[in-house]
Amino acid sequence: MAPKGKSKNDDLKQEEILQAVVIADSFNVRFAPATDKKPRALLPLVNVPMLDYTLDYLASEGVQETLVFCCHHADQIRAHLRDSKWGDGKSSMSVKTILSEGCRSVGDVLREVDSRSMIRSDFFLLSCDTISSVNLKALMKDHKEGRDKIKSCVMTATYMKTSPLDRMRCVEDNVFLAVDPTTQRICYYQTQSLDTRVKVPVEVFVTYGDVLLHQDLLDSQLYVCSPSVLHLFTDNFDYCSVEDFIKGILINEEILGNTIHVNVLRNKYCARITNPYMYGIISQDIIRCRTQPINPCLKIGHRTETISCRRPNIYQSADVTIASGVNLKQNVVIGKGTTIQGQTEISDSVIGHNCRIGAKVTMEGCYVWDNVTIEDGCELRNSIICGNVTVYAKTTVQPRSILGWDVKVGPDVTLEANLRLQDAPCKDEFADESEEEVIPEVTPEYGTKSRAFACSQDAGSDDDESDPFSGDWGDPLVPKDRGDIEDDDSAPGSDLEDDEDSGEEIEEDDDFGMFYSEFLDTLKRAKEEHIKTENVILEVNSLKHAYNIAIGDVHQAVIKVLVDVPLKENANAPDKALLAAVLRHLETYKELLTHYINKMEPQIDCLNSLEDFALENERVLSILPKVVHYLYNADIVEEPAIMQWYRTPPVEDEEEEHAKVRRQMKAFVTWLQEAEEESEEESD
Amino acid sequence: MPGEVDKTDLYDRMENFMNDLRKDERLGSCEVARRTVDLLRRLISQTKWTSVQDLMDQVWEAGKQLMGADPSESRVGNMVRRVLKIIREEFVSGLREDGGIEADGAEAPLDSLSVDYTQPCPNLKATVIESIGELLQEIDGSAENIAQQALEHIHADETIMTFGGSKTVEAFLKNAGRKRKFHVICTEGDPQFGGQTLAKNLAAADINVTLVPNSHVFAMMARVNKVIIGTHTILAEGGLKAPCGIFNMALAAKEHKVPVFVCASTYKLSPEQFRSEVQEGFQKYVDPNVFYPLEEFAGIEGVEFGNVVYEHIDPEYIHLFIFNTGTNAPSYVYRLVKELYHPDDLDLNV
Repeated sequence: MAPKGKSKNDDLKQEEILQAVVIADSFNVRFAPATDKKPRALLPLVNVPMLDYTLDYLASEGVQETLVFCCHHADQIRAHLRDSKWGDGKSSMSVKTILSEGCRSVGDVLREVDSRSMIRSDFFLLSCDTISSVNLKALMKDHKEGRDKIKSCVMTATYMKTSPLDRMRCVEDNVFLAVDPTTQRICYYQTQSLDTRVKVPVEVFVTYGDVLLHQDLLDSQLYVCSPSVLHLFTDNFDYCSVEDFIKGILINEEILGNTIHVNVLRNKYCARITNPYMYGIISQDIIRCRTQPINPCLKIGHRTETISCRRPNIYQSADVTIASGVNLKQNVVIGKGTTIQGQTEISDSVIGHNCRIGAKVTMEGCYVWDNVTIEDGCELRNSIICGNVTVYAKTTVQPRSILGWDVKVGPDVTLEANLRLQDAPCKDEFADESEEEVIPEVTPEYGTKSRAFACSQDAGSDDDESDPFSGDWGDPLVPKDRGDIEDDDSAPGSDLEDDEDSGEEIEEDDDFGMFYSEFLDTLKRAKEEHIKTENVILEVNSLKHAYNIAIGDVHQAVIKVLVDVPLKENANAPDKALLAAVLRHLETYKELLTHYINKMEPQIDCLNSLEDFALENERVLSILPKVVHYLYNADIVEEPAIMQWYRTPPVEDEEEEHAKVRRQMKAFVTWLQEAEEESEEESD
Repeated sequence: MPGEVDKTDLYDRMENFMNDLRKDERLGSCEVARRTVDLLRRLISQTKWTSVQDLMDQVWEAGKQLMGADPSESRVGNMVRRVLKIIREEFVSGLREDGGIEADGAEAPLDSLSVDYTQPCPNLKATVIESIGELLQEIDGSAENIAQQALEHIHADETIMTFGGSKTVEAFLKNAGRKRKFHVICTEGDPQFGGQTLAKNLAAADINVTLVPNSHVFAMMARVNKVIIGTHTILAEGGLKAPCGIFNMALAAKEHKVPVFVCASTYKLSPEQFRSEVQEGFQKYVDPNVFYPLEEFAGIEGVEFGNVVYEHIDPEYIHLFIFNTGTNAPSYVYRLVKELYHPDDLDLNV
């Protein structure tokens, strides 16, 4: 029985050591171009690199071993750790950096961890940009107790209780959970925006009886995992993120018998900087001391200077030079060596080390990193200004902009909002290497002394097309103007009303209506979750049988849905953008179209359906010719079908509508006929 | 190498202490002082040094690190200065015994100009550690020393008002309660509500207690004979850095001409002067969530929350300090500061 005794011994050993896996990469380009020259983990948050907060927190919570996974700019992270207090072995926590350049997702990292077998017992999984004040030992204790009761528990996910109206709630971090209140086990998990209607499958209620539905939880993205999580990731190589993992576990719950549990944090802070919006929110929370014990005075990382603080939340280093007449309104942090000249107004901002800020500057909600120069009379709102940037006099930087490293803009220009600039033009990967591109010294569109190039987000996001938010700033879950606490009922907002409108239409034809709305939801979900088209086809077929729909109606529905989904999403977009979205969507689901619409009859059904839809909706009418043109080019609808449909005589009482559509289509049909004749001539 | 002592244990202890300080786990002031001195004693006993200056530099370096954990925690700095002063004194007296300094020099001020700290000094380690032991004893016994003076200040049938849950004040009142009957009005001292615990403990010791919210201070003051409070820090000019709410009480006491007594151990005596509210380590903000349920304010813009921990109280509001070493008027505090700390150690941030 020797092996048994040995394993017991091992268990005892395992009890002692707390391990954490920190992922020092976000695998997206949300902060581009700021992440071009520095890894995400080393971007400053209130003048201290994000990673320092995380490591300091883990050490203070008694974690003994931390594995830091670096992918992008790994050498910088390593150098940073070597210079920090984690490098000299004086700390009680050992930090190991692991380079894994091949990793493209959290899933890859965890598979790598598994292959190196560095994890001996339950461990914490968090990202380098997590700011937290949770007691980790208590969390681990809860996890272990939960696992003693329910053996199948593989992971405890933490959620912070936060009202959906809170600024911290961000659209893309939103989750909807159904939790078993006695075991705290996740029964149903859905990531969604607030506007979509929550749909909980009946099985959830049937299987679990009592469930608690949570809309009030912020996903902290701090997980306590058992080692089997790693094996599960290895076994399922398609899991990219923890989100995939949770969904996968829930789907396979009956087969594998694994469960995931939640730990809801109250009065504790734990949130992750997922996008520039959250960067601002968490910076503000640090300044407002909501993240206690983390505050702007805390001497962590390389910050050794003393920082004084006064009401209302003004923090400044001792060697800051501030002229008289500077108005620091509220929630401002100023780093060492910075000078600010007279009549400047600053509120809700963080200013880095050694910055020079001129006179009559207005700054609101800006995060300015080190060595930045801002000249007189500038106006900056709600933006991130990276290191070594120069903003020449009288320049206006509008909200949601990121000025990348070493960029120069101005003077005397107003930059548009949502702008992202970098100091060198985007490299075209397909360009000829030998061909030396001439880089202009001055870029007149951003001011006469400027040197700035638009950061093309498509180039960066090639790798992760799956991230629908890539390059986005990020939005609060409930927009500001709707954050009225008085009428809770209206809080879900206006988009829901659209849904209701379509609901009314549906009433007319019950079965078809139900089928149509189900179809619509299926497609929306498919888009969100990237379900393969063939699976969508299967689902549609089963829906057809479920609602007893004739095949003709399916043909009509297919095209209508495919146009309807982008239409709803881009309800307020200009025609051009709408058209682009519709065409893109059609392209994605081309397979679906070719599957259903293959003969003459379905083609005519399809066109009739488009006609009806166009008559219902002005905007569809306006893009109708282009859509038909696309269908023609894609060989979905053929010329004879179009001609036959075009020549169908109008139904009684609808002559006017009939004529309207024909008028719209006339140009296209004429072109079609000419093209046909030409090709005939050529073939002759 | 025999000279290299394994210091990982010391570093672990320091880190632990700093984490506790930072997390604001309501460490008692006595514990903060004791743990600081204890850590410095360990440091001194484990360190090799070439000269006294070298030793002082090391203590100073470690002290600075400890102080960095929470700049508002002045007691750590006070204790570092006390230990430095002990080293200086022991060195000078050691030299004197060796005849290194002439007998006349005994009365000379101990400043760096007159003493050369680079000289070697045998036996210094043992004497320093012994003196630090005495300092630890002083710290541990300070609350009791203060309590012993209680009967001189509290008389029969008096009404005493106090604030929050100071351990020193609790011992003081309990000691008086053994012999005399009097009435205590406790204020709750939210958000920590230390006053509730204090009221419970006093009631258990058979003392008449009334527990009131902080807002009732002015209304109750008319019937009060004395205000007896604890504090966080005593500043060199005789003012206080005390938990928020005490200034309100001091103002009410002044209005009703009620004397204010402050019970404090000498380790709370800081050489710092009050310069402005902006000075480092004075303003400390903590999570406002304790006070206001922020959830109820979710989605509302333009409301700012702040939870400040300390406020300054001018010496003019205080009538008497009851130290473990005796009672003093606020105007005499500067003198105690001069006695306790060496002038070269006053500014540790250099």
